Amino acid sequence: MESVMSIIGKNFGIIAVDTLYVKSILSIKKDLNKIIEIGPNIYTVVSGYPGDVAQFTDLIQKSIQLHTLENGIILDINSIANLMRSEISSCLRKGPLKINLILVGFDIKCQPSLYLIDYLGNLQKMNFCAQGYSSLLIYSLLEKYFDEKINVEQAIQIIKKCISTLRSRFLVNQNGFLVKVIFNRTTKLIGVF
Amino acid sequence: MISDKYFFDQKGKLNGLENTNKAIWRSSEAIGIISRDGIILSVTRDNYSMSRGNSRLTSRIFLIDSHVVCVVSGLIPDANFLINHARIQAQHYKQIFQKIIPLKKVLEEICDLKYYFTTRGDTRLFGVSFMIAGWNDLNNPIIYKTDPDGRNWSFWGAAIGYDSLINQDMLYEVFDIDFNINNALGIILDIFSKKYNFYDVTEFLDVAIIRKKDEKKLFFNLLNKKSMLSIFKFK
Repeated sequence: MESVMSIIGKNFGIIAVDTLYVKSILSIKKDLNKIIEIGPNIYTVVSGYPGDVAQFTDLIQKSIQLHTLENGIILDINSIANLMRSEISSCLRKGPLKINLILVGFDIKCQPSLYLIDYLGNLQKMNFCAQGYSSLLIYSLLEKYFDEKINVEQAIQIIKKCISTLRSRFLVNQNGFLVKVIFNRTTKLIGVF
Repeated sequence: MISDKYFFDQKGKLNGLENTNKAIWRSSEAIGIISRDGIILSVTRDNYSMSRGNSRLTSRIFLIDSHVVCVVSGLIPDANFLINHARIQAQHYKQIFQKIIPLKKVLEEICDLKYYFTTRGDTRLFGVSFMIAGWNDLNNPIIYKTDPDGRNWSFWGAAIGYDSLINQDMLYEVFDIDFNINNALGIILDIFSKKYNFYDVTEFLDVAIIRKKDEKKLFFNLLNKKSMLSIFKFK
């Protein structure tokens, strides 16, 4: 089960995700990068059944590229989020995809936005968010320390607190957490905590 | 039954396409001009001897979505089928992306369907020619003119239907980059008044002035007989 957490500030977005790849009781790979770029400066983390994750990410990534080539317009993050949601909800009664995902990026007005999409096709725009079993532990911390006016350093401190809580209380020893900060036109890889 | 007319003949022409074009040249004429602050589309009706009671129902100007307008010349039943398809695709796009459909995509939906029937030997082509008008992504007004086999071009001033070649020449003579919407209206009324007695022409002419209201909607204004006469006298 993946642990993902994400915070949106005034002009940045930050994602932290664990780097462990598990198959039944074994940890196969300890340094997997799960943050995938599906559009120009738009990042997503998809968690759930591994086959569905790979298939869905590929499908959306290539659909967006095809759409850009066919129509000559670059999709903004709102359209991409709605495209993902409609894909999940149309498969819901045929062959459901067991995935939850987080989408972070900047929209046309240069405001950071964070979208949470459920395995049932719920789409919500949020300020901070967590996924996975560990979200039961993280949400209370994010709720307590989050403020709309935080800057990058404060957000990284909040993420560090969440990670240390998980280390001491979560059942699974998730080795490291990859943290990435997204600015308007650039991204910055903070590192693995 | 595969017919010969859908293969290229010895001169390199498609007979089916030539005959379809001739069918359209017998239908009502339409002229469209773009200008800086708006678009003007004008089209004549089929039976101008009938009363103007149901002007919306007998008009050849259709709305594909709230931001795309089109004018038809040719067989109306074929046009209805294509416009229906385009309308469904526009809403389908809106449902998936939650955004209005770009103009180029509407054009592609219609032209792809038209093209599909050119490669089949057992059905006839759609005998319709469209002028699709709207604002594109860069916020410029644009008119696309389509042929029955799916070819399309964008024009500043386009003419389809009856006398389309003559009308197109007349438009080339008066081209100017810096058009105002009043200039465009004047040109259209000029062209029609040169060919017909103007008082009679207002009986069967539909002129629509289209301005952009905001991102998703257009101001759509259909001129009636009185206003056309007053504009013409004022000139």
